[in-house]
Amino acid sequence: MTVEKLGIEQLLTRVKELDKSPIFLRPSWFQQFEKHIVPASQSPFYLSMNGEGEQNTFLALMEETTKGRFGYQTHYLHSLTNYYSPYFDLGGIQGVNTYCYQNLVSQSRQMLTLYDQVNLLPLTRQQAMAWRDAFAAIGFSGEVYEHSSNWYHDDIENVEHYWSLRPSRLRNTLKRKRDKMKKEGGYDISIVNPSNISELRSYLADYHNVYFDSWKKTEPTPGFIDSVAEDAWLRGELRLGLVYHEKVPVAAQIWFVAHGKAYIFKLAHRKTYTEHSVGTVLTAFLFEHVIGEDGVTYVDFLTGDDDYKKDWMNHCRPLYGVQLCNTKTTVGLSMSLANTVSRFGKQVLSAVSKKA
Amino acid sequence: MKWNVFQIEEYPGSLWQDWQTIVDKAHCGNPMLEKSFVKLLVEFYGQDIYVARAMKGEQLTALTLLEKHKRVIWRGFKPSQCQIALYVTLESQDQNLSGLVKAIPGSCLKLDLYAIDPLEQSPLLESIPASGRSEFATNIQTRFNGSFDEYWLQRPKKLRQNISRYDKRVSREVGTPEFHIVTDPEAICDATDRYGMLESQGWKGKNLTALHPGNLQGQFYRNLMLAYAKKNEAAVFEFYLDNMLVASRLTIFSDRMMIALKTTYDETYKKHAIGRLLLHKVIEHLFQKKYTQVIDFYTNATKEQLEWATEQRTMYNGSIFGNSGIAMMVFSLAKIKGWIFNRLRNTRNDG
Repeated sequence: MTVEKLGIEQLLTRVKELDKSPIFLRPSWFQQFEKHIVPASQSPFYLSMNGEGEQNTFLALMEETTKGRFGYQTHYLHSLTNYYSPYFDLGGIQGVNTYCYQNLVSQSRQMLTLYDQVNLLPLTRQQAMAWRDAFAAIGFSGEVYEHSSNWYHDDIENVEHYWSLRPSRLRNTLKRKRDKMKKEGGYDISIVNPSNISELRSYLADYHNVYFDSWKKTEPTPGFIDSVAEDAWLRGELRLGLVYHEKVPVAAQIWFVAHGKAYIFKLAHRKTYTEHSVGTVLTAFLFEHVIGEDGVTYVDFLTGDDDYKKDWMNHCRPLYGVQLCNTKTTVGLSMSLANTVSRFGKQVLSAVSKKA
Repeated sequence: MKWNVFQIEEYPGSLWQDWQTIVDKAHCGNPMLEKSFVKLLVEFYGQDIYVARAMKGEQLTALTLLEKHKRVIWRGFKPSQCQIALYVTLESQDQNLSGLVKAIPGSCLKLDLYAIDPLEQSPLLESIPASGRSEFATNIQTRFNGSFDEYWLQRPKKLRQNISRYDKRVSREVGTPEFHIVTDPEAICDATDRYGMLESQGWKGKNLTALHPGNLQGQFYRNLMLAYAKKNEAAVFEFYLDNMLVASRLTIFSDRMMIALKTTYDETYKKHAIGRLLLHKVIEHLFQKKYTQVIDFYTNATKEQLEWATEQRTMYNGSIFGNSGIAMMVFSLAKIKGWIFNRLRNTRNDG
């Protein structure tokens, strides 16, 4: 078994995109991430591991060195993720288990111990603990912390089954709003089916115009959204839903569908259409499409604990990050001590407040 | 000239009507000084903007937009989307800039004005003492006199050879680009969005400086292009290969001049110099159609860009000091502090 440090071009030639890989862990996702997001101060690379006759697996990382006030340098290693990333894990492999993490970390010991701190996120609790244990074996102390939440719905049988599990409040609102839209007229709702990339870009521009006029913060790198949407469209995995009113786009959502699962990636509606609930109507339309037409049994709202998500989903799980400090370097050790002191302080405060 | 400075919301009268009155009389045909351009800049990028108004007796003679920069330093309002000082004047003589600085509320020790265009704003430039002027950019124009063939023959041989080589390479390797011109108001927003989405795929996207329909700058240009297209004064020039947009230019124009606002190209065609081929095509088209006299690039031209120009000029920044004694002392001290700081930093880096 060997571990190599690869660039994205090498990774793309070495690692086959597994059909069943989650979209957010595919080499093509990281390729777009590098192209649009990674700042010049950070250098991405891929730790690729392969056993005899086995598929290459990889971990997407980026390194960063910062200079402290007194001239000392801190060497960081981060997962190649940001707020667009709902998951982080080994790529190129099915059925990742604890053994895979241990294997990768122990095989890369020499390289990993050059860093003072390693940060990985977003992870499930199980993953965070597994990474912490794997790094502990090479002298890193780990701190697991809550990062975000993930709402999802599993075991969906069909559209009727899905709606039967929704609160009556949501179903009633939907009926009322759909009726109102019908009565007012001029609304057109669809999941677009562009025949070429120029047409797709035109629909994506509609999405962006809606997004800009929504309650959401402006995207710093909208080109990334375009690239991943185009990539998904080429694979037949994009579901771009749009609501037009009098030919003006007023609500837009980007979903991905792959292997029985749907991922709700982006959603927005114009502020002036909030009271019409055009977003809710579009979400329902897409749910019915992905369950009824695409046959998905699992729908994932990805990251974020927004209140409205609970009406559409049946489970919420916390997502974590893990901060791993190298206790064999001075900087890493001091960071580890700082974490210990901070944790102790929080425990004391919590105990005091409970007593009070 | 007597200056008064007002917060923009408190301007007595109709600011944009006054602005356009001066433009029509003294800067007619410069699309970047038109009220429709400046008003949009204020709507999109203006925060705490002040208007300085000069009167000669009862007659309005000059207007400029200002903003507070630091505690005692003010500057002309000039977002990066605008490449000329937002200063319009009917007065061809001294602009009484010391009077302007004195009229600024509170204490102003220095007023900086950026991108003063000698072609458009020579009275302003001449009113700034030489010690307060600094070069900002080398701007270029291409004038549509004579035929395109005459113009092209006057270009440096190397440019002509390169363009010919790129043209052949594109045809050989990727096909002949299709040239589109979008001027229809109904289509201009889509063309601006296409421009933004192409620009966002390149280095400007990563630098967070690209315009895109999903960001403020993209929406600014969308609105700007629509406003000018409605007057039949906007054009987007596009190159397509296999129905894919590969290069685009946003322009606004009047009978007098066209302004090349933005240009971008698909970086996968970098070795084909597709952006330069589009420029060649646009200039050829403008020579043929002659619906404007000159194209102004309002840029800091590189050596390569200078080869396309029939005219060039230096644009300036200007600083006007308030209470000259105190101001000179404060800014001299600041300069000395900067010099010492740089020396110390260099010494540390060398060490």
